[in-house]
Parts: sequence; structure tokens; C-alpha cells
Amino acid sequence: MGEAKSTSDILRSGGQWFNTTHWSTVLAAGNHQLERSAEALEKLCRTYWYPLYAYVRRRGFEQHEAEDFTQEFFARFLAGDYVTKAVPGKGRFRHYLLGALNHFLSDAWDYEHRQKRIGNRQTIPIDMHTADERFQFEPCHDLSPDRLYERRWVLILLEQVLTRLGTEYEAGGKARLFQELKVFLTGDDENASYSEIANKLKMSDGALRVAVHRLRQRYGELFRQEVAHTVSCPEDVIEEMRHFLTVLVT
Amino acid sequence: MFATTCSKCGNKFDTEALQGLCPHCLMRTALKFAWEMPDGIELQPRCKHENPAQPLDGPQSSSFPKGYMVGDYELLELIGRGGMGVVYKARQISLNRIVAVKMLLAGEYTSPALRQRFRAEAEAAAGLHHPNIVAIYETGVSERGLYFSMELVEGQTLAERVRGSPLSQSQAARYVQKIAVAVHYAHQKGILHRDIKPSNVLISEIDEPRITDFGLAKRFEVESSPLTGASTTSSSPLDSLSTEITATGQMLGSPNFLPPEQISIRWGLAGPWSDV
Repeated sequence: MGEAKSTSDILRSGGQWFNTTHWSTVLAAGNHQLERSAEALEKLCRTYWYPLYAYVRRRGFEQHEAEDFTQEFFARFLAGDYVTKAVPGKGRFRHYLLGALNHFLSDAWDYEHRQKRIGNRQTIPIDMHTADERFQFEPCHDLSPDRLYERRWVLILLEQVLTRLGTEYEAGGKARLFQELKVFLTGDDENASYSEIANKLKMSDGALRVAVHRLRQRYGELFRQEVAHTVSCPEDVIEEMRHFLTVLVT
Repeated sequence: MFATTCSKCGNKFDTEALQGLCPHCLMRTALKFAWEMPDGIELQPRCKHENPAQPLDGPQSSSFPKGYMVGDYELLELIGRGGMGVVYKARQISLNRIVAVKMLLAGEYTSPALRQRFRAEAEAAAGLHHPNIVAIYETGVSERGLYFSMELVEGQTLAERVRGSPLSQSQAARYVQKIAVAVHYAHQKGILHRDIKPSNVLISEIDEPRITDFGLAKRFEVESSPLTGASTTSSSPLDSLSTEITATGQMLGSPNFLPPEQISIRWGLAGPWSDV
């Protein structure tokens, strides 16, 4: 194995992508450079809107209220209403977004007023037609709103990374390899024999095992990158990932 | 939405999401491989401190949620607590086997002496390979402190076994004989246990006694008499462990089971006879 380096060393010095991770960009921009951070913020919101919607619904709001609140909240969020405010949890976008939403919902009585204010503000493309369909399929109704929000957050992350990995393999002409090997992303499977799959793909056993290892490695790397986009410093990445493992226990 | 239970981790998940993959197992893979770079450089996941073995700020919880990763091990269930740490049933990911993991928790309340004792326990037991001594597999350092993995013995301690229903004479004699042979083996290897007691003897599911918890273990020299060839022992320690610990006045060993020489000024005279 090569020389061991700290995450911070590698990611701060050579990882340009980390220096421009979405959430760190937003925080660094502050309230005077909203244009710089607008794209980053919009990307984050577009990815993570559903956990917020599920949270609002689980809080007890009806479907039409939840849809309106979610849209209005993001309109305000993208306009910078909350980025500049002293909302706790700035280190992690996940915490920050929920904190800002709770601030917003605490004024939820002003529903009619809010309807008028949506106006021409920027929004994100939320598919409200399917939002509640998805919500109806939420399992574990004993999950608190916060717990549901966190679980949905992690699931979105996992899905994003899996899709991204599949797209990479497809772009490299390895779509079939990905389809056959993805089962090994959850560990060795008693129903999936290395030899059988190797025969199917006309590979040696050894070559297949290497391919599986690389797939897992790439998944881990992509996941780390995605998490890094939602935290403000590299040191928080592993804590965030460890936390996610506990969130997924049923 | 079709819910199913994962055969690997036991968590429920929706088979229509994530291309049919278990999210918990997927997360575990991500965590395990997140720090391996394709070019062979391994990232050290640091969490607010440069050295993961350094104590973290503030008191540390001694409980971990199911699924928490420590090195190559996924913690499944808390199965015991001792003076030096906690013991979990765990799955070793690389070998897909169930083991026990003992963790000494890092924290500002963990003294260097305690850490040294923890290491000494692992080292002492790791060199012993006997059917009636619990085997040690490996040691490591995690974000939360030192740990070592060992064989998992499913069953109960001898203390629990005899509580309320004494052993038959033949049963007691069988246990004593096997434990004595195991202790003698350890002595032949130059290791004193120093804390032999019913709660440190596990009775396995096949009714075999297994000695565990070498937390107070001490090395001693085994010498042969030039005249008779018989083994004798000198209790001058090869490690500085006992000197350092007892210098603070700490009482080591369980009071009800201590031999006289371990509770008096003749502490330095403890030897294999003390285990007997």
C-alpha cells in the first residue's frame, strides 16, 4: 500500500474539487457574493428537496400545504434568506437545511401572506405531482420527522452515487460489467458466484475479483465526494458517513 | 414498494429502490472503501485530531449503535462491560465471520496506564493457542480508541452457570481439570493470568470451559534448574507494566479471589502459584 496521508492533506492540497464543494462554496461566499454561490446552492437544493418535503408531511401538514411550504421555503432559501442568518448547524448542509426549514415553519400561520409572496422568485424544479406519491410509500410510520428526513437524505445520496457509478461504467463501455457486478457492492453474496459470473463475462476468476474490488473502491470514493459537497470541512466527512450507517438501521 | 429483509445485515429495505440493493450494506461498503485511493494511497480518515488514537474532547459514550464500524468489524450487539472497556459481538467484514471485539474507549478519562494494560492483555493472550483459552485475532486503533478482536464464545460464564444450581462433583472436577491444564499451558509460555475467577471462565455451548480476560496478565521468566532440569520461575517482570500501575497504589485483581501475596507487600512474589 502507498504512503498514508491525511484526508485533509490530500483533499486540501490536490483535490481542487473539494475546494469548490457546493456547501463550502456557499458558506465562503457569504451574504455579499450570492451570485457565486447561487449555482452551488441550487444544485444542493435540487438534489435534497424530497427529504424536506417528507419532513413537512410527517410534521402533520396536509399535502397541498406541504407542497406550498416546500416551494416557498426553497424560493426564500435560494434568495439567500437563510444563508446569511445565524441558523445553527452550518457545518453540515443537512443540518442547516432542516434548521432553516424549521425557522420557516415556525411562521407557518402566515399561509395566505406567503401565497402572495411566491411571485417571481427563483424556485427549483420540484416534481410535486410525484412528491406525495413517494411519501405515501414511506415505510416505518413510527419514524419521527427528523429520523425520516435523515433516512431519506442518506437514501438519496446512495442513489445518486449508484446512478453516477453506473453512468461512468456505461460511458466506458462497461455497462454489462456494472450490471453483473453491482450485486457485490453490498458484500459477497451467497447467491452470486464469482466463478459463474466470471464465465458469463468470459473473465478469469482473479480478474473478476479485481474488477469487483475496483467497483467497490470507486463507489466508496464517489460517495465520499458526494458527502464532501454537503459539509464545510474534510474532517466532517467520515463522521457524517458513520452517522449515516446508524440512520439506516431498521 | 416491496419490503424485504437483508440476509446479510437483517435490516429491512425496499427492493424497488437502489436497484434492489440493501442500503445498509451499500453504506457499509462505501464506508469501508471510501478511504482507499485507486493509486494505492490510503487516506487516513481524521476526525478533528491528527492522531486518531488521541483522546477526543469530552466524555465518550461507551455504547455504539448497531452497524458501527471499527476497523474491519461491524458492531452488532453489546455483550459485556468490564473495568477496561466494553465487549461487542461483531462481524469481521473481510472474512465474514462473527467475533467478539473488546474496545478501550479513548477519552480524556482514559489513562496511559489503562491503555497500556489493554495492550498488554491483547499481547499476553495473543501468544496463547489452547482449546481452553479464548483466542485473540488482532488488535487495532479506531477513531474511538484501542480495540482487539477475539474468538466469540457463545454461552455463559462459570459464575452464571453455578448461580442457584451448584455443579455436580464430576462436572466441577472436569472443569477444574481443563482449566488447570490451560493455566499450566499459559505458565509454560511465561504468562500469569492473575485474575482467575468464575466470571473470567466462559462455558461454551459444547460445555467446554474457556479462560478469558488476561487484563492483569504478567510475563515471567521460566528457567530450568541446571541440576534437575525442573522449571522454576523468577517473578522479576519482563515488562514494566506492573511496576507502573502499582506505583499509583491501584489494587489489581478481584478482591474475593486474590491470593495473599497479591494483596500484601509481598506483591512482587506473585507467580504461577498465585493463579493456582
